[in-house]
Amino acid sequence: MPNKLLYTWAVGGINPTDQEVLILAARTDGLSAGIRIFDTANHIVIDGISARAADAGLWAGAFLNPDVRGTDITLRNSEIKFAWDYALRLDNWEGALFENNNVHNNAPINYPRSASAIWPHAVIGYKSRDVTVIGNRIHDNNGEGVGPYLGSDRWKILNNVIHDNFSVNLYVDTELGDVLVDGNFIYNTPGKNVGQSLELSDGIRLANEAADLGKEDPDPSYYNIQVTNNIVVGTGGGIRSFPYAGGSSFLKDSLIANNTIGPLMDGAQAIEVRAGDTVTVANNLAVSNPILLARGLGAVGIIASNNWVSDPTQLTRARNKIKVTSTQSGDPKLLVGTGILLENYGPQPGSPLYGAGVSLPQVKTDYLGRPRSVDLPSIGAFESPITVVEPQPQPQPQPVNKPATTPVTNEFKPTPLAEQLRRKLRFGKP
Amino acid sequence: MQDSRNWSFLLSGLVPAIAGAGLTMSIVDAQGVAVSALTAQEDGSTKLLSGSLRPGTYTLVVSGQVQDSSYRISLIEGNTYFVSSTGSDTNLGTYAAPFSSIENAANRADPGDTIMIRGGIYYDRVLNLVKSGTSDRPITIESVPGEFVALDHGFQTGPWSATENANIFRSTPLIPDPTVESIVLG
Repeated sequence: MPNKLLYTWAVGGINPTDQEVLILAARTDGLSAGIRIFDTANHIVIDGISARAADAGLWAGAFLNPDVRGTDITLRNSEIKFAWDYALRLDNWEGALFENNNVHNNAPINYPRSASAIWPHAVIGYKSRDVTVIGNRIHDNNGEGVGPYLGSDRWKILNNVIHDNFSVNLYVDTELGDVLVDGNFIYNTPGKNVGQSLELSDGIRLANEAADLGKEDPDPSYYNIQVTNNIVVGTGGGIRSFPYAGGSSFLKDSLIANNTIGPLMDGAQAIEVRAGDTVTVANNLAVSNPILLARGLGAVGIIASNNWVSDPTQLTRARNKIKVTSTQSGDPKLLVGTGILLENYGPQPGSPLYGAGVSLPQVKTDYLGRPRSVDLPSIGAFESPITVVEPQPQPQPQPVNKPATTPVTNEFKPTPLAEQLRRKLRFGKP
Repeated sequence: MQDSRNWSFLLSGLVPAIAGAGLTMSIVDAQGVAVSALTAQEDGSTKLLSGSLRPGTYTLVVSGQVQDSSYRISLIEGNTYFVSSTGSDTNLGTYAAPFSSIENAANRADPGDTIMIRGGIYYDRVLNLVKSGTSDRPITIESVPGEFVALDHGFQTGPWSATENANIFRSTPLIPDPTVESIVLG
């Protein structure tokens, strides 16, 4: 038994015994604390736990043989918080499902928030494939939020609520591609990042930093990335793809469509594609910030159609091989169109956004999973009017044959669409 | 993914006044979709719901005349080991005699087995999982429905006691690794 004592200053004089007290180790032991699934373990499901104060919360990796990936991890209905570094990390891994988790306040290694330290992702994969991140809340982490990293492909990031992370909330940074980012609600709360030396970071960023930083990559493209039906509010930039540090990377064979980008930091781009080869930017609603399409590459370049901006000067094409058609502007007649509540960005009945888009066979549903019109889809994330559903008190389940010892938070889900609508709107409230 | 099996849910001992036509049972899967093709039967104060389901977590909804109740249930195939913060690793890992460490239970698991963790705080600096499931029979580690399970990978302390300063409290670090002392100041 150590013969030393710990002292703490308790705000309000409340005895810490009655509170949640976490003591994190300094990161000197090789990220050894946490849930480790290394090399020999595959096909694991973890459900309904709260893990805290690790070095890396859950880390699944295959390291012994670089040619053999680890396989199949599921984490759902769980909470990962105050991990010193990463919350969820994959290395050399194929097949992961992160579903309905609450991942928050991780990476205190970068607390207080500063650009002088490292700022790891809360959810990240290196050389990771077939990863689905769905229905999670990823917020208030002191690094980036979520995204595939070096050597990763075939990710799906769907229906998450991602907010108030220190750096980019959703960062796709890979030399590969095949990534679907759909139906996420991403926002920064005003004042949350006060004091950081970075400008407010993007909602969604697409990049190939490895190519830009001169690492070995003969093809600097990142490809087949579909960013659709997302709502981004209050971040630095909205959805941006650009070479890092003046590099040569470019977006290829990709689609940015039917996103709603609310007011952002002053002067930031709602959508920015610095260099694109066969990139379509269509049916997006930029409420008040501009769209910048800088440089088209290849035979097709960048095609922009049926985007809605606050006035015609807010869509800029800087160089050649950029085809712009049917840009629309004016008052989109949103429910409110200000603040960070999601329902503010639903169009009013009679909004000119309805039926004003161009047909895109890749976009079959809207933010709420409702079918899109095949011929005349709407602009923005909502295909048709939304009804705000206030959360109702749910019956508290009781364990069979024994009394509950702890409040239970699982909720009855009436139908997929109703639950999806209710959850997404509920999470939209600060 | 594990194959479907036939399961039955028996609700018995009901007060006759609320049984019968005024009471229904239904099963909702983890995605919130009501499971169809289940057979409902009743006999006096007993209700029975039967059908084919894959192992996993579901919600059993009992709808009554006054209010609905929902219960989170786990359908488990294979062996089940229980872990409790008040258990012992010399136990058999049953509900009545649970293990104390998750890692010990995980080391005993074979494909298709489930480790059920009772509510409590588990101070494991590291939880190394080394056993594998298979694609159709994963190893599942989950909290007992309705109980809160926390894995605290930091350092445990003893109770906090008051000092002469109203805002300052004192505790003793309970550090499993004796080489780690540098976190203590004072």
